[in-house]
Amino acid sequence: MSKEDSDNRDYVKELAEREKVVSGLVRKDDKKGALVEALKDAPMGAKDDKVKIDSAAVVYQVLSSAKDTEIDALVEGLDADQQDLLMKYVYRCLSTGESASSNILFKWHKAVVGKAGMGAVVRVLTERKTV
Amino acid sequence: MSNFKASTTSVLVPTISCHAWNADRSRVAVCPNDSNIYIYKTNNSEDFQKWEVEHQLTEHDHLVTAIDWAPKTNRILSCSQDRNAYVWTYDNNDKKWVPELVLLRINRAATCCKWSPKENKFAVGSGAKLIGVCVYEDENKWWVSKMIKKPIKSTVLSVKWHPTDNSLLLCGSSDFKCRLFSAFIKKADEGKEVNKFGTCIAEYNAKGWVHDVEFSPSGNVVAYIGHDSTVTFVDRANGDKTTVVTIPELPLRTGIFLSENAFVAGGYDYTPLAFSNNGGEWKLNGKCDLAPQEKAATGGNVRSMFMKFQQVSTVTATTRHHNVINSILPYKSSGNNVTVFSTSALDGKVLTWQVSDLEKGLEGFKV
Repeated sequence: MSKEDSDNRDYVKELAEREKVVSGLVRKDDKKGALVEALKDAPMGAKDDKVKIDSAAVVYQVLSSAKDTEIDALVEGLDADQQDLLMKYVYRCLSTGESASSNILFKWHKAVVGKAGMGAVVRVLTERKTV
Repeated sequence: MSNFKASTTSVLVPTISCHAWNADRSRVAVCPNDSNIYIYKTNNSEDFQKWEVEHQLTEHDHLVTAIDWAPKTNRILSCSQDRNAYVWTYDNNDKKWVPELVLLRINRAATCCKWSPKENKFAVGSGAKLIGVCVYEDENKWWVSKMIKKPIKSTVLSVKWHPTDNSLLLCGSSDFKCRLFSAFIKKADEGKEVNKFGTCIAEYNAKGWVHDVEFSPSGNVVAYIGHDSTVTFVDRANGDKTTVVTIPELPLRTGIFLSENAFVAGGYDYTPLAFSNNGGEWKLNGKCDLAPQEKAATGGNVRSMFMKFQQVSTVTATTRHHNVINSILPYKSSGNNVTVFSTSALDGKVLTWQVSDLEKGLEGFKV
């Protein structure tokens, strides 16, 4: 989110770097760090849908690595903007992630609604710049 | 608990789409979600069960979308989905309200309307992506409109005038924008024309339809309500310093400033929310439906446990309104500060809220 959306951004390169960092953190079992890292520089302005799908896959990699009991604490550790963004990724994974398990995503959905309220869902539905 | 006693099943009318008060609050105009407007005599009561219907205004053909009652000139402005607006004047001899046609010539519904502070002109927003600013033409005895069209790209959902400047008009629309226009009309405004009629002086972005826009009492702060469950505050006196307050609830529909530093808004979550500005930072203080205060336990016996259980079970609804709040207005004020405000909702009730109760019940909320 920190970078400005513009055509100059190299989304593919960013994605590759992000994927590397996130995979490393997941291997080290630093799920909190991995989640924060995965939510960075969301490709809201990307024209290529594949970049968006792959970015969501990176986030999903973290979501699927967490145990059920850890989900609430991980969501709690995010700030309001990150929680909103996470919800956007959850919806993205539910809509396009063929390999994603809805079971896991619904658990995260419930956790984010619990923390950020229905407002987070409304913000996903109204947002025009999708992740 | 006093809040919850009022949440009875009785209603004024089955559904309300908007309401408006006269200057001394002895009358209220209510649209019962159809083409009629009822004028109620309030009999000095805030309790709608004591109100009596005095007049019925029936000129509109479709749903009345907004009513505004001018405090100084005692004229009622109404607009409707039938693409018309009327100005109603009370005839003391005949004891009835007489409508005057407004030449709007729009091809979509009129969605919102508001008298200017001087009450010599008014604005009507429309689904035709424009705002009509209307002034009276003596020779023909009707109201003529001048249109602001650019750069509005979608339905205008709300129009509000600057509290003191008769030529500044704020508008919120479903193209995700809140805009400030010059609505200077020579006939109605004194002084020099600073900005030409229709000039877009400022434009603020939202991430959802902008349901409602508001000026603070001084006109320095602009607030607008987005359908993405946010309220954005822009301090125009302070380099357009912008604060976006995201709320955990469903989106809001309508709001008002209680003072320069306090704001309340209601919407799809049935309860008004209170916001305040402490040291330059706007934040959400909480719900105006204050949680019932738990009484101190008087001992752990079975009876008190039972009483507690019973108490909880009788409070079925946690909000006073039971449906979407669609208009919110000042009811009583002292100086520039609102002390009591009223809300109307689709549940058919008009309720009043004491600001002093909110100051006691909500942490950090100060008007």
